[in-house]
Amino acid sequence: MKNSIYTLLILLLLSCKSQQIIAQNPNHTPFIGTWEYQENNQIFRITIYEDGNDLKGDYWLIDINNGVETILYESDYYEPGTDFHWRHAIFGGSNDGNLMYAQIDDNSINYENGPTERKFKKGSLGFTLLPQTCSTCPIMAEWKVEPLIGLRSDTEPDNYNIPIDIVMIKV
Amino acid sequence: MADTSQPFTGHVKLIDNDFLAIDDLFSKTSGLCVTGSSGEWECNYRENHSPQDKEDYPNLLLCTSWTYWVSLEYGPCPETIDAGDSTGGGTSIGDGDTGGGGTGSGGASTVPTKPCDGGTNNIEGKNNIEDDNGDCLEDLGKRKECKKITDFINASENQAFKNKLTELSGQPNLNLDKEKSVSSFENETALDERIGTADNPSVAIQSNPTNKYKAFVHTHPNIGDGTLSVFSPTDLTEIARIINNGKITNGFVAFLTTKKGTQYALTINNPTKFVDLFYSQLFDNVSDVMGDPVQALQNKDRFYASQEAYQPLFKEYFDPKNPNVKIKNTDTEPEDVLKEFLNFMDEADAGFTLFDASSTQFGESSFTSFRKIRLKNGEIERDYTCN
Repeated sequence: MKNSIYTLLILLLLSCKSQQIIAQNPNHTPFIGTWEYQENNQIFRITIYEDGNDLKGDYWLIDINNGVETILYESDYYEPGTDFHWRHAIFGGSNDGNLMYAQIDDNSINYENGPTERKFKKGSLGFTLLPQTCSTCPIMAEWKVEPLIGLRSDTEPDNYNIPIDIVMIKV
Repeated sequence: MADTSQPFTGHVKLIDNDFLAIDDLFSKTSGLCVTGSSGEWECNYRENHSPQDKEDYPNLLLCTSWTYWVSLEYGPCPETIDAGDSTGGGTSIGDGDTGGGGTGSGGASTVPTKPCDGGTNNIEGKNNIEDDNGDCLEDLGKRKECKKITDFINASENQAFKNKLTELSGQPNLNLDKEKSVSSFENETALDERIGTADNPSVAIQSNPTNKYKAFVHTHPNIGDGTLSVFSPTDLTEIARIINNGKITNGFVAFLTTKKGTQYALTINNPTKFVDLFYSQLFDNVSDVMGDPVQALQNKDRFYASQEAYQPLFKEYFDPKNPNVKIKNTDTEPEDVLKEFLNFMDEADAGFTLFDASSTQFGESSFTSFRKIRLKNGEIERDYTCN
């Protein structure tokens, strides 16, 4: 019986440990995982993962009603009836484990009118870890999106649909 | 091939080289069409004859390699082919001809030609090939791109645009905190002048105008903590979008003037390659990418290939939030920035040519002389002036 309890404890410890993903590039490690920003009954959620020398990511806007999640939009969406999808909408890296830089595709503009009506505006993402004020405090990071300077199309939307200045919590 | 005493029999694949694109050979981008062709084998052993001549020329048995030379004759296209309706690319091949597609000047080229000198006048690794006139064939590509600029600049109908090149290069415009652009279109005398806004200093240009772009110029003025002294990735993306919409003439030129004192001209020597790199940046949604069902699979592959090619280049050279990025708007040494931009061009292999129009360093007025820029042995090399 005692052995079983020890085994369970070890498994629980291993399970907890597995939440801390070790990246090939140690500077990437702090960013890898799922992050959320909640406002009222909506959550803006991102996942960041390592792919080779790069950090990539996807995002969702989720509506919560009595604990039931409904996806309002997702960046890696499909052309209806096909296997063609956008793939990652965030592409970048980190050189210091504190700032993640990336190009971000906001392909969610006008999502309410269906996938064929979506509009696209790219931007520059800075995702900066905030100081952790206590050992049990959540890990937080500042999310900022800015337009890229340079020529743009006269059909490009003026504004982003995704949040451009929020603080996200690692979950 | 084990037996090199015999010429190869079978099919061969044409591969683009540095001075002549396949598209140009078959008039997809040139103003002329192939009207005839001939070819002959050449043995590497002294006498140049075909393998059928062995009995008469026993020395042919000593041949170890064979080259099949193809000569193409160019002439006006049949009426059923609209040579001027393709999306950019070359103008003419050889001397004195004007390309189709509306550069508008006509007449003979003023671009100088030179014999091969085995050195700076040649593209590396392809020295000492001259045409019948004694001009270095390796200069063809350079002259072709040069000619786009000289044809445009020398055309009297473009005088108003030339005045805008000077005007936008003046301090009143370069001290602004928003970009300006001036565009010139085929079959239009009026110029399209635009400016960024207080909310967004980047100037918005027409991506699908009624008529094709002959040229445009835009500024990188006094924005933020420093302006970029070279074309930005979004500048290049917008050019790709316009090409993809079929809205540039064969002789299209993009000009840039910056607060850093740099002026450049850019031509497209291979529109397909250029669009390939930026393809993933051009569409609003996946349905737009898929487009015509017949092309859907190809478009999907092209989109993913572009993502894989473009994004690492953006991260390495242009991402403004990457502390180690190679091209920075805050860099105060335009030559360092240019060198990295040329490295980007080499790595991207995106089918465009860059010219220095910053002729003040040679004691000339801006936008009066144009020198092709490239990296040679890791250093910036400016070729002889186009005009």
